[in-house]
Amino acid sequence: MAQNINAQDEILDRTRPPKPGPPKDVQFPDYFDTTLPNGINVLVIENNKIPAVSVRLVFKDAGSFYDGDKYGLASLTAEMLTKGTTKRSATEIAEEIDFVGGSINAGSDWDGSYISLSVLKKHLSTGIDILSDVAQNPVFADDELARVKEQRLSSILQSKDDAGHLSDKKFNKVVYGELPYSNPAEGTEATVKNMTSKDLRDFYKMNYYSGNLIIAFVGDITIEEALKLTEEKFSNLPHDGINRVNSFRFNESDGTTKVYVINKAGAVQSNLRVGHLGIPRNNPDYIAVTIMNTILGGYFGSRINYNLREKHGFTYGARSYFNPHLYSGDFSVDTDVRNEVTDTSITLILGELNRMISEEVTDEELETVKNYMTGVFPLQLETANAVASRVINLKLYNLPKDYYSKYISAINALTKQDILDAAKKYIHPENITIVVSGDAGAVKDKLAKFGEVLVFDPDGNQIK
Amino acid sequence: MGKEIITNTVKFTEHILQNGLKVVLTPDRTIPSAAINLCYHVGSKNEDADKRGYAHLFEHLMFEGSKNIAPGDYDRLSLQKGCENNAYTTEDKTNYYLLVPANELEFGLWLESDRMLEFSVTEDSLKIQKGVVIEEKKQVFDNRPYGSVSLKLAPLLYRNNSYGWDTIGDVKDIKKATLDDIREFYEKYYVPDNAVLTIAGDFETEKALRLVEKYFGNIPAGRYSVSGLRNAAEFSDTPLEGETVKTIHDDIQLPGIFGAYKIPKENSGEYFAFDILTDILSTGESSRLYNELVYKKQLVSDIGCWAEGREFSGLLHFYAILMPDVTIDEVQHEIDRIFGEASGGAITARELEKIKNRIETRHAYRVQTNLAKADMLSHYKLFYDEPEMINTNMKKYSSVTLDDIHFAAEKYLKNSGRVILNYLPKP
Repeated sequence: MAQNINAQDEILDRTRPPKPGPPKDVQFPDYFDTTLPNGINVLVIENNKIPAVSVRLVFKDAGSFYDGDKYGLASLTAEMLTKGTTKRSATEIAEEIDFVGGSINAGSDWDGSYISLSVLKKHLSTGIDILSDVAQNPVFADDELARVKEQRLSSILQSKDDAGHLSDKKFNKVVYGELPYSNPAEGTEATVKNMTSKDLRDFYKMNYYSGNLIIAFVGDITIEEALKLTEEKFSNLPHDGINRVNSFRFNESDGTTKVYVINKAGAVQSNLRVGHLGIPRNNPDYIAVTIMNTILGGYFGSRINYNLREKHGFTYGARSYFNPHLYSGDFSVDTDVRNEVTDTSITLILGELNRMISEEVTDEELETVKNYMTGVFPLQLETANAVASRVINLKLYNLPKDYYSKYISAINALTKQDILDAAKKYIHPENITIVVSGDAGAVKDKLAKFGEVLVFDPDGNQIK
Repeated sequence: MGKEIITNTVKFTEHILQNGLKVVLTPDRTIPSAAINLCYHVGSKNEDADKRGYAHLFEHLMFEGSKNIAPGDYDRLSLQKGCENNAYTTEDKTNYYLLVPANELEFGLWLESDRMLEFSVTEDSLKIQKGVVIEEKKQVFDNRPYGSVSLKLAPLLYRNNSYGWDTIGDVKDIKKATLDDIREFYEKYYVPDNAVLTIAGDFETEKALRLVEKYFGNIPAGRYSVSGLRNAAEFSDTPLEGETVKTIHDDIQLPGIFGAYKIPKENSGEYFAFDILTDILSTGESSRLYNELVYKKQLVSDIGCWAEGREFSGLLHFYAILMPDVTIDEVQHEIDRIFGEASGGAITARELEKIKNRIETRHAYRVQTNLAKADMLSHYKLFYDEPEMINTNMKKYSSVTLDDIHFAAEKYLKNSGRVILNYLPKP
């Protein structure tokens, strides 16, 4: 059984941290990457730590960005993939994959549509049969679509209860203006009601083809197995889809600050978004911006969290984000604060934004964040699926292949001047949008000092 | 060395220091990082009825400084060293973790041991953290749709013991907490003989053990032997009598049903049967509740049930969010029909096999990270003195039979008491 150990009598200096051992190099794991003649980009991230395999299908640049005026189209299309094929009914798909203890999930975001399979190695052939079927043979049946639409309408209705969701919706609308990112990816009551199975079929035809398909095989699987499965199971998609010419106008602010209040009578906290347009994922300054934002509000030790939570106790937490998409992005400070300090919190946040663009960060701040990012990097490589997500991002956002092998050295090369430059270039306190979801009656009057205050109900109608 | 346990999955060694601190070590060289998990055997069930929420408030205060760590320095130093930290509190335990780069293991043990060594929280920190906890309660419970469920269920489920309130506690108790209250709590529970330390990750067992001994070995054992609620016999609980139904009006669009039955505690034979039964009923789109009520009848947009195991009790929770224009009675009737069929022995061999496959997959993915392994090992060591449950639990699940499920459901669901909260939109 467990043994006893004697306490040592050595004098122990607990007053200062012990010295670290020699640092260990962290290598981004090797992976296999090839593009087949039919256009499919096959990735293999091999790892046999656990006897399981994930297969992730990613259709590049085939997400909600292309909903047009049918908001919710990409996400409904993806959701319907598992609701019936030419070979299997929705019930059979659920029953077959559940029976082997696996899961198949389909969905979309702004920049892509996804279908992923997770299954134990011994059930891979069952899993991949179903995955191949739902990816290539969906039927988009009317009765199934009717069900999915009712579910979606109920979830849109429910989302009106969620202060954070209401804030995001208004913030995106204002900040992105004419860019599609300003629209609700889940759809609206009107667009979902009007959606037809033909709409979905058309979207599927234009966006699901082998020329924009990435298949990542992750876990207990060899390159040979992966290539064989790709050839056997995913050869039925057309090579080409829609030929796109993107043209869109970036939003231009009128240079005034406006405060948008979404009234939730009786709310005991205000949910805040304070921000403006940000950067696309492949912006060359992305790493500098990330480090700058981490110091500003990106982690627990950041200025904004320290100020609002640790110094004032106004909130359970406050963070800032550069949220990047393929063609643009946004920047926002997000928090929930108690009603009485809503305006004070906004003042503190704006103060931190102004400080960020007017003076260099301290040596300690920069060194801490460098150490932190280096220290937690291995945690982002701990599972095969975590590695796969990063490799897929390289592809999805057209980043250089050596991005992650140079990631740590790129961070460590940054100077205080680089951070200040990034802040000056990408943070604009003079051109800010403020969104508050909360009790308008309790908080509205004190917000006029920031700019014109406009009040809305949770449905988006302006209240005079 | 302690005993070496070799299984097909997680290998570890067990040790105990002279002051009573239990130690579990599980090397894993996947990445140059280690998870330090320190789990104290204290949770909200150890609180007095007029000091509700102190265990969780205390969790916040443990980040506010100790003998050699100035206020704010726990976080500041841990970030500087490239570490990630956090903590959580349940009814039964308070769990702290620190993820360190492999070359900073000694730093992590130094940092973590100091707050077991000596309490040093200031009035200022106490005041700020009371504010943070009160905002946490608002954000997580008060300002969230259906967010008050656990606050309202607890006192109806447990009328005569300290499971009768949620871990977040009561704002008026939190506001009146003094440094003396907090210090008393610390001296009673934050002692080596009331904790398990697990380290999972990139280290050599012998070296890690020497470091553990160096930093934790000379922390004195508890001044009094830890008292209060050490076994089920000291914890009085009564079965639920009949059905308690309450209606709650909330800021919501769609009505919801939230209910619970009492079932045997975690790690009992029946608990494993209920864990499987609740998966059969609600995991995956082919499960009975989803397939019948979401898919076929379209009465609800979301439905589920799960078994919650505690040290001295267990609960079978169920909930449903209704589709527009559907009534509570209609949905409750359907849930009761499906539960009734389960209690009547209607679960099939195929359903049982399906969920055993599901559990096998879930287990494979769960033991992938150092953090998850350390959390599980600490838990099983703390409550059952049996960390090898991380490997052997699978056998307990595979041995559950259809009869086990039938009899457990018949005994604890059929004709048993339960509590139901019906959430309705404010009129």
